[in-house]
Amino acid sequence: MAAPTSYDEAGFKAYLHGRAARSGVADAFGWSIEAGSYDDVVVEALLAYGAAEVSEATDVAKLRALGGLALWQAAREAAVLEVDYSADGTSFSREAIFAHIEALLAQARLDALPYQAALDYSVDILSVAHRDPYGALDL
Amino acid sequence: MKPLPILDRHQQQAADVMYDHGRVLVRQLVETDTHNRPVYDYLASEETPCGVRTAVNHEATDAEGNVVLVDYVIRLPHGTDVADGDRFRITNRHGWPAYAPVDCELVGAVQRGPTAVTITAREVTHGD
Repeated sequence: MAAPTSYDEAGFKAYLHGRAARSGVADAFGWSIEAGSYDDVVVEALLAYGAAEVSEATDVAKLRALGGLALWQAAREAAVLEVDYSADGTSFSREAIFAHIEALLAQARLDALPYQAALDYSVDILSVAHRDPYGALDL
Repeated sequence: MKPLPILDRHQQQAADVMYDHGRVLVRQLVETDTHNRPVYDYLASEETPCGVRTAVNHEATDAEGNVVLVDYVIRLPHGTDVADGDRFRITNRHGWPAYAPVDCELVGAVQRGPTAVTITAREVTHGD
């Protein structure tokens, strides 16, 4: 199977829905393409990418990475009310969903890091001096 | 009073984890006998998902105030129409195809909670 070289809007939403469905998040929140659950996610991804249309975003790896980041950020917002509770003799550990999304979001942040130009991370290597407090004084 | 915004979700989540099935057997007046006395029977309603917990040494208070041991604690979806005098038939547990339906009589009052209707039940072992 060949990797995609471009997406249209419907194809990109299908990709996002596939990721959300595989993790069970789409089912948990009732997300679907038809209901417009991914409309804002696409907008966020395009804003981060700097493109006006999905078809203009020709760097597929970048679009997928930024789309994943926008997707899990949206999922985290949706999961705010997923709390542990007990009612009618049953307990529900719904906060596990939130923790699961947090882990996916952390990975998405790493995946999107190379494509976030505004952050412009750099690493400087500084010299480190080790001083032994028990050594002889250099007078 | 404003309802909890997440109550609908909790009711749905409670229903989502009901893996068993059963029918409320509604106690109804079906006829009168030759002495014009009412004759009641239990009519099965539509099958509903439910969550059956086998109760071990679980006590409940019946209508006369007697404390009795019950066999099952059963959760039904929020809003299920069931009354104290009804019975409940467990038709399937965990999708097990060989499960033989069990009829139960309700012990104590039906508890209508925020996310589910809970009944305590004892297997019907006598003739009727």
